[in-house]
Amino acid sequence: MKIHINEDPNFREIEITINCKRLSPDVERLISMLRVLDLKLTGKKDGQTYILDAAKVLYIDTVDKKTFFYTKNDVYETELKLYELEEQLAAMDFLRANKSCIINLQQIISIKPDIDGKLLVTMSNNEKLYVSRQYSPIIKARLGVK
Amino acid sequence: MNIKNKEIFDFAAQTLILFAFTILILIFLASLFGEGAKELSPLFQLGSKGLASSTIMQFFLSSAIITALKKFFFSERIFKRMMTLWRTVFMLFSIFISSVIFIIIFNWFPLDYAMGWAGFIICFGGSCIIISAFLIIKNKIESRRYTALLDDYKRKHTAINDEE
Repeated sequence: MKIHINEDPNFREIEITINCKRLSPDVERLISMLRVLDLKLTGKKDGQTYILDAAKVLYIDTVDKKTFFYTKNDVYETELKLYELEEQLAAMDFLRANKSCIINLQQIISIKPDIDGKLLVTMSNNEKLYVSRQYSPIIKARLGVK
Repeated sequence: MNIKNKEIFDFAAQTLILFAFTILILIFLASLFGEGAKELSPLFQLGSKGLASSTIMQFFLSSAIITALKKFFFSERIFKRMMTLWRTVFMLFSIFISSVIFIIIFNWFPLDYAMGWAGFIICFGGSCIIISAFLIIKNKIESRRYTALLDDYKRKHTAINDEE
C-alpha cells in the first residue's frame, strides 16, 4: 500500500482518496477505521453498507469473532475489531462492559448494582446488559462514585 | 495484580469474612445454649467454654464451599444469560443442600431430632430473608444514586459538547 500526502495550505479540510483495484474487505476495513476517526461507524445490514453517527450506537459486541453494533432498532456488522473501536471511541463515552462488549454511557438510562460487584445497565432501547466485576469500577469512577 | 490472583484473593477474603461471621454467631450461641446442648450436638461439645477446633475446621470448610457455590452461580463464564433471581434461587438451594450434607456427615445434631431440623430451617430461612431484605434495600439506594450520577454526568457532558 502506498501513501501519498499532499500538503497544501489551500486545502480547507482533510481529503482522502483511495485508489484500488476493487473494494476488497481490507479496503472496507481501512475505510471503517478512517470513519471512526470522524466518529462515524460503517456497518453492514442486509448486504447494504450504512454510515452512522457513533453517538447513536447503544453498544458494540462480539459474537463468534464478528463485531456488531446496535442502535435503538437495528443491528449492523462491522469489519473492525472490538479493541480497535474501544480505542477510537473512548473519548466518546464508550466503555468496556465485559470481555465481549463496549457500551455507550450516553445511551444508558439506569444502572443497578448486582450481586458480586457487577452492574446491570438498562440501555435506551430497554435492553439490559451486564457490566462485569472487572469493568464496573471503571464505569463507577467515570460517574464519580466514591 | 493479575486477574487470576485477584480472583484467588477475592475468594479467600470472602471465605474468611463468612467464616469469621459464622464463628462469631456460633460462639454467641455456645455461650447462651452451650451447656444445655453439650450432650445433644458435637458442635457444642465444649459447652459454653467455646468451640472445638474440629468444629471450627468444619465451618471453615463450609464457608469455603458456600463461597465457591456463590462464585459458581454468579460466574459470567458458566451462566452468561441467567437472571439474577434464578442465580440466587439456585445458589440458596445448593447452599441448603450442602448444609444438610454437612449436618449428616459431621452429625451436627441427631438426624431424628425434629427440633434440630426446625432450628436449622428457621435459621436458614431467617438468614435468607434478612440478607435478601438488606440486599434489596442496599441495591435500591445504590441504584438511585448511580442513576442520579449518570443523569448528572450526561447533563454535564452534553453541555460541554454543546459548548464545543
